[in-house]
Amino acid sequence: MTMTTKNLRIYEAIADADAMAASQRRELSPKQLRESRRIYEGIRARVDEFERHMLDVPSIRPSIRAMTRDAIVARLAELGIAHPTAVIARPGFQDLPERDLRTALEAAECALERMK
Amino acid sequence: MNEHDALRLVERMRAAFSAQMTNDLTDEVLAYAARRARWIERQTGRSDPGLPRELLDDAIGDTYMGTVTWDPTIVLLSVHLKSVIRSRISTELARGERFPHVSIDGRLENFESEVSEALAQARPGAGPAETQTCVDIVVAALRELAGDDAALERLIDAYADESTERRDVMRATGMTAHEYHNAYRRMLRLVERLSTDVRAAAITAMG
Repeated sequence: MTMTTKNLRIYEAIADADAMAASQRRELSPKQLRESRRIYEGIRARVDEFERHMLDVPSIRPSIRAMTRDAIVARLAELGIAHPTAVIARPGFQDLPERDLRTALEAAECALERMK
Repeated sequence: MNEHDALRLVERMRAAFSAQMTNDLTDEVLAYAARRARWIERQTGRSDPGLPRELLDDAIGDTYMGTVTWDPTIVLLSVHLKSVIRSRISTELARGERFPHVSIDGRLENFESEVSEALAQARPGAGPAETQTCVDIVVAALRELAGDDAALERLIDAYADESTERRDVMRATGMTAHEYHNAYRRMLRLVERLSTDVRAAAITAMG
């Protein structure tokens, strides 16, 4: 190994340590602070849009769209016990993606409403 | 892992990403990227004002889309993003090592002699030290500044042997946590001093 390779490692380690210290101090110029704000707002908008897209299934009622994953799983389990012949909850349904869980709950609620 | 498990993991990762993505986080990681970019700029002599943002954007995009793996149960998003940026810079730095402006081990003898000649003509008294790479100059200056600080020397030697994490350094050097902490702080202070003069001198020497 050449001295340059060893020095490269040292150089990288001290550059990283120096940058970590600057990072802890949030050492940014006013221009960079504005840029950071723009980056954050751009990412937040993209993430929010993505999440809306994932959850926005028109046929699902707003009350189900507003539920947390745990609440959906609990409601599906509850319906499965109360109406075992009407609600088809396949084994391991708790592991379904959230979008599928909402769809399953909407289908189950619709089926029960038709029975009434 | 079946498809549902994989989807569940991605879902959890994205939920954690969304929860941890704050403006303070972008401040923290952009500050890291900006400082690393400044070192690169000083090393290469080339300015790229868009580099910090590019580094941050890439790290965030690759994480959210799952191109790089992030396990939110193990590490915070900010730490992960800095690690992604560090990894990219490390790769590019290693790649750059194959194309140094000037080599000290004779691999680019022709180029080295050309630069030596140019330096000698441009500035009377220019010596062999100015034919070293920026990296070598900075490290040599750091060692000189460290003087007879034995703990700091051990810390630098540990870095040379690829021990960079605190635990690894302590294991390699036999330092206590207290000794490590103090040596690390002294090293950061020396690096601050390096940043103002030696690195600039190195760039000047690089022509």
